[in-house]
Amino acid sequence: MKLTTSILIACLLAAPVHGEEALFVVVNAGSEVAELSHHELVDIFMGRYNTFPDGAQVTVFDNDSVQGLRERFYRQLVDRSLAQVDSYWARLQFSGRVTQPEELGSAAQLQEKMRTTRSAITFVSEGQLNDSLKVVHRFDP
Amino acid sequence: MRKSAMVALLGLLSAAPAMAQQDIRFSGFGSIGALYHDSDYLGFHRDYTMEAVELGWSTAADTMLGLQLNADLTDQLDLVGQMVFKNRVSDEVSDNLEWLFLRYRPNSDWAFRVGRLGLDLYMLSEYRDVSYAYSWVRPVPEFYNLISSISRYNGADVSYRTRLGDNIFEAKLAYGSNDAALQGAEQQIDIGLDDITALTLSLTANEWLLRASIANASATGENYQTNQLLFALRSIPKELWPDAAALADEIAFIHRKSRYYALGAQYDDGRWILQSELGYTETDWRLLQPYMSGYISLGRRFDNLTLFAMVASVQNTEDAEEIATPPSLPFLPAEQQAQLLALHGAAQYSYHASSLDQTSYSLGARWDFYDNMALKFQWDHTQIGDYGSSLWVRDFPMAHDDSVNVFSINLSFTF
Repeated sequence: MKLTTSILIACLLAAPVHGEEALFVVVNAGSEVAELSHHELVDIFMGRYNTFPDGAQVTVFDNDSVQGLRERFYRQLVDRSLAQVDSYWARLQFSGRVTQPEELGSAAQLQEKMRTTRSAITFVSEGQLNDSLKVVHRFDP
Repeated sequence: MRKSAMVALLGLLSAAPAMAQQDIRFSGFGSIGALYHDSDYLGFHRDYTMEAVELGWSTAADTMLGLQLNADLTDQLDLVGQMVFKNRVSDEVSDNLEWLFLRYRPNSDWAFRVGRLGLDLYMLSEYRDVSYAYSWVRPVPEFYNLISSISRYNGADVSYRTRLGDNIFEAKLAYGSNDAALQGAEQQIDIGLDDITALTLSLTANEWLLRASIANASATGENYQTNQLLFALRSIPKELWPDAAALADEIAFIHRKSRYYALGAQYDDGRWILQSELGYTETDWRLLQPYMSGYISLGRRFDNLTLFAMVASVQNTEDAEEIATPPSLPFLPAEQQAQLLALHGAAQYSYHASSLDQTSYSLGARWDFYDNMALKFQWDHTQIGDYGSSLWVRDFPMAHDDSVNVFSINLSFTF
């Protein structure tokens, strides 16, 4: 019993180290889109559809401004490693079907793109949320 | 068409800096590969549009570089150009232009393309040179070598997509033509495919991809040795060999209808990857007997390491026809007999030249050791039946069976 308790406590303590704060999928604050299901997000982020469910144009940005964020996002979205996601995109990109989302390496660049692109969608960590972004889906850790 | 396409691409490349940065994207892919094969008689190439490599180590067979440009002209109109540099049979610079097309997407269901396009006939057709996009070192030659002439074309296609439950169904109809310089088993041949018509249906789920496709084309080929044979057969007096002229008509490679059928399935749950394709091809040309080809590959991922095993095979479904010897033969003087027999032999030989009979067993590993880079190792053991070696380049069709080992190491990347 004591052992179980200490394991439990250890797990609870360890949890924040693994990491994990929630992930938010966000669009431009002026967007009509209110909420997106997991399935709709897979269609958009994996290049299957280039529009929102209502038919409006979508522009995907890949957020690489926070260490480990991309990896966590795709793990949550499709349960694939980054290598698998990149290999998948190589197939789509170089068969000319869909262009791979633009990867943004700095937070400032990301905020700027998201603020000025009305059709934009991306994923952010909690600390990156602000008034110019509207949350359309939340992934809990 | 080729020249104007090149000019258009070059024009576009030079105009690129003038356009807004977000409208234009450059990207690329490549692989640096080395292979060793142990056959004294057979030269290896992964597809007929490439030169073959001889016994020993070589880097020419799997090393290639692709450059791509995507330009969004409007929300609905975009332009894609791709150049692929590899050890092609063709020396023409414009043949490096893999595709260059304009695409119009009025909504997310419909797409119309025109230009030089990839023909989406087999699963890997449109990314067969993008080694980073699959586990193996190369698309399996038993399946992909033969169809290299029909993997791209100049023309147009239209595709329609719709949701079926959680899955996406796509239908694509294509029409166009293509020219290609091929390295056949013994001879180089310039092939022209006209009236290519192809229909591809696919169903994409989260873990599954299912495909079925069918294509027709009219094929015409030009080759020096065949021309000589035709000339000889047609100049033989009718009394000596009554069938000679009819035989020449069978051998001539002009407007031969060819039909292609393919089925494909892929399963990928993140850990296991299963992929299989089955193809059947037939032509009205006596020299290319109908054949079936297929492969099945099973892979298992462990973090960034993927191990895979594969079996692939290609077989004719009909044997090459035997040509009857000229009936006049016994009545001729020895010298003429020998000449006529030589000609008969040459005609018979041409019937065997494209025979296919081989099966390969492959084991390999892919290691994703760094972002957008993968290192691959692969061993292929190929067993070839009597006369069945036409996927290889050789001096003559071997009448005996053989086996070949190919060892490959490959670094593939995208940027």
